[in-house]
Formats: sequence, structure tokens, C-alpha cells
Amino acid sequence: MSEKMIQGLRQDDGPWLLLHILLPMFMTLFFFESLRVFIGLIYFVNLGAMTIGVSVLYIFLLLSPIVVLFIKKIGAYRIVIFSAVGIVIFRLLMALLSWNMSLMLITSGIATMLYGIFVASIIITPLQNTPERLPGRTGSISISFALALAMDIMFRAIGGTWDITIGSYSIAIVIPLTIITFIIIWLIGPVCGAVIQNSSSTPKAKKSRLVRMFMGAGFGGGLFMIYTLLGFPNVVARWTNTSYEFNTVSVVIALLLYAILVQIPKANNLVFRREIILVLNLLLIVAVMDIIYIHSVIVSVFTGIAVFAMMADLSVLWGIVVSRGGDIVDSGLFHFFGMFLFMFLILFFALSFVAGMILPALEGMIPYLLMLATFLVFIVSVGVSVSGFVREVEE
Amino acid sequence: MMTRNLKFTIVISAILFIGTMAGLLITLTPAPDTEPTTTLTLMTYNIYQGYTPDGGVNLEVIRDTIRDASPDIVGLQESDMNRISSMNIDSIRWLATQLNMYSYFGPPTSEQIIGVALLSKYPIISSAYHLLTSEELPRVLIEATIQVGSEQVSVFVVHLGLSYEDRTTQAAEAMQYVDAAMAPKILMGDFNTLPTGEPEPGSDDPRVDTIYTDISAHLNDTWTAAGHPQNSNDGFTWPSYGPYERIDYIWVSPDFTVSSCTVISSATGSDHLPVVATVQMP
Repeated sequence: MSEKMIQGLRQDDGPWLLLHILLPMFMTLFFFESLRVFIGLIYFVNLGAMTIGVSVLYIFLLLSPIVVLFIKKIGAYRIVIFSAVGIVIFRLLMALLSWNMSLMLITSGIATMLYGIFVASIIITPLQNTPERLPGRTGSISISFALALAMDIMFRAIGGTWDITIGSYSIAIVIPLTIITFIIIWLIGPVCGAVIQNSSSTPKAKKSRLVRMFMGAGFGGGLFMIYTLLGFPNVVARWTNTSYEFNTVSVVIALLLYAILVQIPKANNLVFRREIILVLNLLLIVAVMDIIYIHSVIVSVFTGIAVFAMMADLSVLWGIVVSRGGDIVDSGLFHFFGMFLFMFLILFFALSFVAGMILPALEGMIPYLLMLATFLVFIVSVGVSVSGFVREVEE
Repeated sequence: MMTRNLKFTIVISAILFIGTMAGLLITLTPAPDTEPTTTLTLMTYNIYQGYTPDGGVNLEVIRDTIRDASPDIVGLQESDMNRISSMNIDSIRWLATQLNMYSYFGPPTSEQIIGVALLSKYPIISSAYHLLTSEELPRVLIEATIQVGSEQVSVFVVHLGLSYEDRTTQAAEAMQYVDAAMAPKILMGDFNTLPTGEPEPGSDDPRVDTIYTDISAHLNDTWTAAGHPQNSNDGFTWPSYGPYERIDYIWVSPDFTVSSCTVISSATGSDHLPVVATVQMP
């Protein structure tokens, strides 16, 4: 990479593109892939065999965002880079060691753990002099999240619902992806280094850390919905007896439309108006109820609407972390609580699969868990939007 | 004016959209062969949710086992959907695409995630599922009408429960649906019962069930109809490594003539071995 190219990237919106779009996009993609394997293997070696073994303790790796509280002195930017390098290395190892399920469990667990640290740090890593026409960093990172989910769905669509980055061809796909990601990480230093802003240098009036932490429930609920239902058009198709193809098209259009609209200032202002957030969340509730209970003829359209609303909510939820002087401790606590809730929802979700064998009381709990998660997203997102808790973030 | 980043996002979005569409197109199931035939090859296979014994996704081995046997109709058990443990892969859709077959899975996962499935080279013209009474894990019987040339065949796939109460109740319920169907008919699956009805080795329940004899009063067991002893070692289907039990069966109505029936002892894709039967159409 020549110095001239790096100079070019430094100008205008290059740093923003690298740090707030491309890097989180690939990290989130690797997270989705790792999380699927990680949770799947923990389930298999425990509930699949109808026994609870020591390996179930790996699930606590999900609580990794708490780690940033202990390493905050390193600085959010360095944590971002170190965790990103770790995620790429362990994602690559996952592909190389896929012949051994125990090693897959460990590598996928560490990659998942590192993402918890990454996301808690990247949210709190602003850039100076970002042009005003660009979305704020929570909007930007929600764009990267949407693009990562769309890419993940593409890989699964190509594989006939089996992610091609996990199956037999995984090495052929993961190696190029990790090389691209390493180049992005390598470029971030020279391109973004001078414009990284120290987030703790501008202390502002702070809301209670505890309140902010509990608002992480919305993040946990949203992640649960994406992981178990909305991010999987084939799951919606089997649940509602509808077309996998239509559901996939609907979800991908919703994700890409979100990524594009949020970059258009007028559309961005419209999407994040409190009235629109309220309407989107009401639609989210209706859509999820339709998917879970009603199965109407437009359930595919509703699936797309729900995904769009969920992406907008992610931006709003991350806004809780960064608004009003939120710092890396707030971010760590917010994501820790979100992942804690996600972990419990997943635990009950998995147990309800085998309720007849273990806890009969959990039989038929899945719809309630999905509705609970949706209401958590709704309450927190609408609550902070309507109350004005989340304000425009100055960068 | 369009910014550089917006242009970038639009390009990325276009690539992702085209990639997804291409993915959907290449995995659409092409029209299978519907040539009339006088012989049907049937297979029943409990696929252990598509896992290897240590938890890896194992669908490629299962696909190869089915492809090598070249069956016309396949009944699959433990083909559950929406399991986060198998990474939410739609295993039946994947197998149907790879094997160029029609498919049906029942029930919808909003009813329960534990289901059975059917793959067919011939068109499935109607299908339904019947939830069976269960005290332990929920069980289901699926029913489909398959158009084989000018003939229609009723096909049933089931996976009965483990406990004496569950499997005997479910077998009786399943036979009510089978009896009500139009012949010719095929019933296949994992019945979790031995031909003798004796408890499986290791079972705490000493009761002997009559599932095998009850079904045999209506349908022919392809294994014995092909000339094998009822309980011979080469008919054992579970566990796949060192099998000592015959619990997977293919039954057909008496209007079919059974030509052969084998257990694929070399199959390694599951904890069960698949059973393959060749029958002459009525």
C-alpha cells in the first residue's frame, strides 16, 4: 500500500469508512459465524447428550464486555485494535481446526468473547473532524451491523442455508476474508491514528451508570431476536410455513435499505425522529406477533419490517452508551448486561427444545421468550427516544 | 450529491443483493425426474439431527449415503428444524437441493421443532402432519401422496417415542391414519421397538409391546418379505457402530411385491443405519 494511497484514505471520510464501517462489519460477520458454532457446540455436548457437563461453563465467555472495565487504562482505541486482531486470528483458527470439535468450541468461544470486548470499545471510539453529512458513530456501526448480517445471509443463501464459511469450503472463503480484514486493521493506524478522539477527555454530565447498564436489556433482547429468528429467513419460513426465498429477499432488502438510507442526511433525520422510532417499534411488535402467532400472507414483508426496525433500534440503543458523557465503563456495563440477558434467554430457549426430557414446564415457551425479547427492545428503544435520553452525539 | 461512502455502500449492497439472489437461484430444487416406473426404491434413515457423534454438522456424509443408494423415496427421522445446535441449517432443504428431490417436513416449527421428513424423486401432490400423543418428547407422523407415473402412493413417516406408553399409543394412532389412507401405502421410520416387542437392552421397563405384530397384521415388513429372518444380525440398525437392535423398518401394503431389503452397514452418517427396500409397484 503506497503512501499516496494512505494519504488519499486520510482525507475526507476515509477514516470513518475504515474504523466505523469496514472494521465493525467484518468483526460482526465473524461474530455471527463464531456465535453460531459456539452456542451450537455447547448445546450439543450438553443438552444434545441430555447431560450438563463442565463445558457449559464456556457460555460465560459471552459476558466478556465486563473485561473492558479492567483494561480501560489501555484506552478504547487500543482495545479495539487488539480485540480485532484476536477475532481475526481465532476466526482463522476456527476454519483451520474445524476437524476437531473441541478445538472449534474453544476457538469460536474466544472469537465470540473478543467481539464482546470489541463492540464495547468501538462504540466509545469517536473520530475527530468527521464530516457532518455522515451518520454519527452509533448510526455508522448499526450500518456495519446491517451489512454484516446481509453478508452472513448471502453466505448462507449460497450454501442452501448452510453457511459456506463453516462447511467444507470454509478455508477457501475465510482466508481471503481474514486477509482483507488484516489489511483494514493495518490501515487503521496510519489512516485513523491522528483523528482518533480520546472519549474520556470531554467529561459531561452523567446519568447513573446503573440505569444505563440495565438499558442493555434492549441490546440483549435485540441480539436474541436476530440470533434465533429475524436473522434466519429459513427459520421464519419453517415456523410460519412460508417461502424461504421471499423471506430472504425481504430481510436482505430491509438490511441494505437501512444501510443506504441512514447515510442520506434527510432520510437519517427522518428515520431517527422519535415519532418514527415509535412507529417502527409498534410495527416491530405487530410483525413479530404475526411471525409467531398469526402467520398472515404478508409475513415475509413483516419480517423485513421487523429487521429494519431492529437495525434502527440498535443505533438508538448504542446511543444510550455514547450520549451524555457515556464512557468505556458505561459501554462495558451496558454490553455486559445485554449479553447476560442474551445468555439467559438462549439458555431457556435451548432448554425448551428438550423440555419433555428436562423441564416439562418450559414446553411451549419459545413464543413467550421471543415476545419478551421484542418487548425489551421496544420498551428501551421507545423509552429513550421519547424521553430524549439519546441526543445527537457530537464527534 | 452522492458521497463517496454512499456510493461505496450502494456498490456493497448491490454485490450482497446479487450474491444472495444467485445463492437462492443455484439452490432452487430443479424439477426431478418423473418418468413412470414399475420399481420403487425406498429408504428410511434416522439422521441424528445431522450431527457427527462429536457435534459436527454431518449432512454431507448423509447426502452421500442417500445418493449412493439412489432411493426414489426417503423417510428421514430426527431431521429437526430450527435447532440452534445445528446452526439453524435447514437440513431438509439442503438435502433436497443436493439430491435433486422434492421434500416435505412436518410439522411447522411453531408446533414443535422435532419432526420427520420425506424426500422424493416424484412429485409430492399433497402432504399433512399428525401430532401424536406424547408424554416425553413430542412426536409426529407425516403423510404424503406421491405421484409415481400414473399411480398415487400414500407414504407415511414416523419416529415413535422411547417409553412403552408413548410408543404403543403413538403406534396405534399412526395405524389409524395408515388404515384410512388409500392403497398402495408405505409406512417407514424409527419405531423404537424390536420385532419381538421385548424391551430394548438396558431398559428398566420389562413390558413387551405388540407394535410389530399389530402393524404386520396390516402391512408387510419388507425385511422379512425379502426373505430375511425376522431378527437376524444383518438387519440390526442401531447403534451404527456395532448394531444389536432392529428398530428401523419399512412396511408396505400387500399390493407391493418386495424384491429386496438391505441395511447399509457401511453408513457412518448417524447413530442409526439406513434401511433400503426395493419394491415392485402394484
